[in-house]
Amino acid sequence: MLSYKIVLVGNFGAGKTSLIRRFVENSFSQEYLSTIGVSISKKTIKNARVMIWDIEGHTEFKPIFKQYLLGAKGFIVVADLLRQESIIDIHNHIKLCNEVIKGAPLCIALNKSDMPHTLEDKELQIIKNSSELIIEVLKTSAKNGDAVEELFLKLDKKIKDNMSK
Amino acid sequence: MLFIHKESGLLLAKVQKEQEALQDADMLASMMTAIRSFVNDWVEANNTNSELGEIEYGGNKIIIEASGYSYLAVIVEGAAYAKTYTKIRNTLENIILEYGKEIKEFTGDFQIFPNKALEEELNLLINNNNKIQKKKKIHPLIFIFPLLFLVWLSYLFYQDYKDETLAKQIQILLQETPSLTSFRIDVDVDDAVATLKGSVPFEYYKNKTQKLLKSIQGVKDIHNDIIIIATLTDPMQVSSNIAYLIRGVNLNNNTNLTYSFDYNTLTLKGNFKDYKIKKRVLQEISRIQGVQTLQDETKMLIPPFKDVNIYFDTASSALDSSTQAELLKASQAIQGLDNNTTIKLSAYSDMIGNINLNRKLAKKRVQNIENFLRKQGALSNTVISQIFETPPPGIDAQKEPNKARKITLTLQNKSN
Repeated sequence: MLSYKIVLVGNFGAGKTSLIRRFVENSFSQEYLSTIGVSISKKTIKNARVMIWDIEGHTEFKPIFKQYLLGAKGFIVVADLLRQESIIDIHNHIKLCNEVIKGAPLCIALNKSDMPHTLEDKELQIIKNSSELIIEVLKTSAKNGDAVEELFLKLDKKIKDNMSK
Repeated sequence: MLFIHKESGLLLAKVQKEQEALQDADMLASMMTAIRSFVNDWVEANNTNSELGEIEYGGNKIIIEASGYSYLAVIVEGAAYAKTYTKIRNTLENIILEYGKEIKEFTGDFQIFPNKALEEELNLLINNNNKIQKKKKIHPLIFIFPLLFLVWLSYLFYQDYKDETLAKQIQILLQETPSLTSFRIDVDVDDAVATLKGSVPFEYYKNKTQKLLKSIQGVKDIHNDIIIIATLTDPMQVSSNIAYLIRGVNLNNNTNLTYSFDYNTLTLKGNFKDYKIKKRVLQEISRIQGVQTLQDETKMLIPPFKDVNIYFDTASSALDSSTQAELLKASQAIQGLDNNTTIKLSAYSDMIGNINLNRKLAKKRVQNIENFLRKQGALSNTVISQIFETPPPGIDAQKEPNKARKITLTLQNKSN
């Protein structure tokens, strides 16, 4: 049995909580999110017990609390593909994650793909190429579930690969 | 008890009571880590060098003890004792010393992580702590035993007090009973049962003591272990025996005997009016153990004896009824005299008829009187007779022949 922690980071309103809610049937104490800035969910992926930390989204006035990133095996950076500044901030989030956990793999979720948008697939590739740490960039929809599972499974696979090294 | 990876919040090991199994311990571990991080960061920001050590909720608490790469969260129901904290700290220390390297290098792979060994270590703590709790938890019944013991003790004290009071009561009664004062009789009362111990010279005293105790209220039973020792040699006891004997004699016989006893020789003084009583007293004294010598300084006070005159009919030696009554009275008086007293019978004649016949008749009259006295009074005194051929002095036989046919009974004492 394996056990690891992943953290979802991203700007406020990017849809981190919705993504987790789509992936995990039961999430733990959503109300804590606004109190201490974190909500924790658990999901067993194959033979791994994955603790998913949903941390309060970054805003102009409130930076991400670094302590919550500690001990994570991987990150999912969530951005709202309808908001340009959200996409721009992906790099800041990657930088922060790498600062805390050097070399931890990342998946980028460009969320709300169910909504009409102009983001082209080649842009996805540009984002992916921007960092070696990024293992996948996916357009996801928490609403209809598009690529949600794939997002978590990809990260899971990479983490497991890393752990078995 | 959750053993948690400090950074990731991953649960490394857990131990819980079967009946109090935790729901989703993994999530709790993560959440606790988040809270811990949040608080510690706030504390750090306020320049205080301390960590979150405890979270309380609804009467329970989570004790957090951190060390190196991990921390131990112990969920305690109710109050925690100082010993519990020490045990938690010691357990964590042991774990770190033994498994510090594995914890530091924890990757998330439980196939290589010694979580079972950790859980065993933690189990020791949970069992140990149970013992502490058990020790501290005092069953209310435990108070009943000291309480019962106190009640029992009080009852014993009360019984003791009652027994002591009863024993004192008995002792006072024995001391106030003249015939028993002189004997050393010990009384022991246990649970209202009186046990008498000591020695008396006669069965009478033993029985008397028993009867006396029966009159005391509250005495349930009497064990009369008084022994009768005929050979008393205790001088005090001997002296007491003499005292009681003399007092009894004085009371019963209207005598005023006194005595002195030097623990060897008894000197008896006073007057006896009755020889038989004297004889009996001397006999009793001779029976008292411890009296070596008896010095009899008593005197016989012989009551004044009125001479008895017995008259006879002509040529008759018969004793009529009034004569017999008078002789009986005389014999009783004589019985109180000692053997030295001699009864003297003086026979007189009316001088009518043949002298020889008259002498014979006089002898017969004397014999009849002596026989009557001996028969009625069992006399052992010597009887002497004197036969006169003449009438009593001052009597004219011719004028008063009936007063001339007379025998006079007088007493003569040899010692006098």
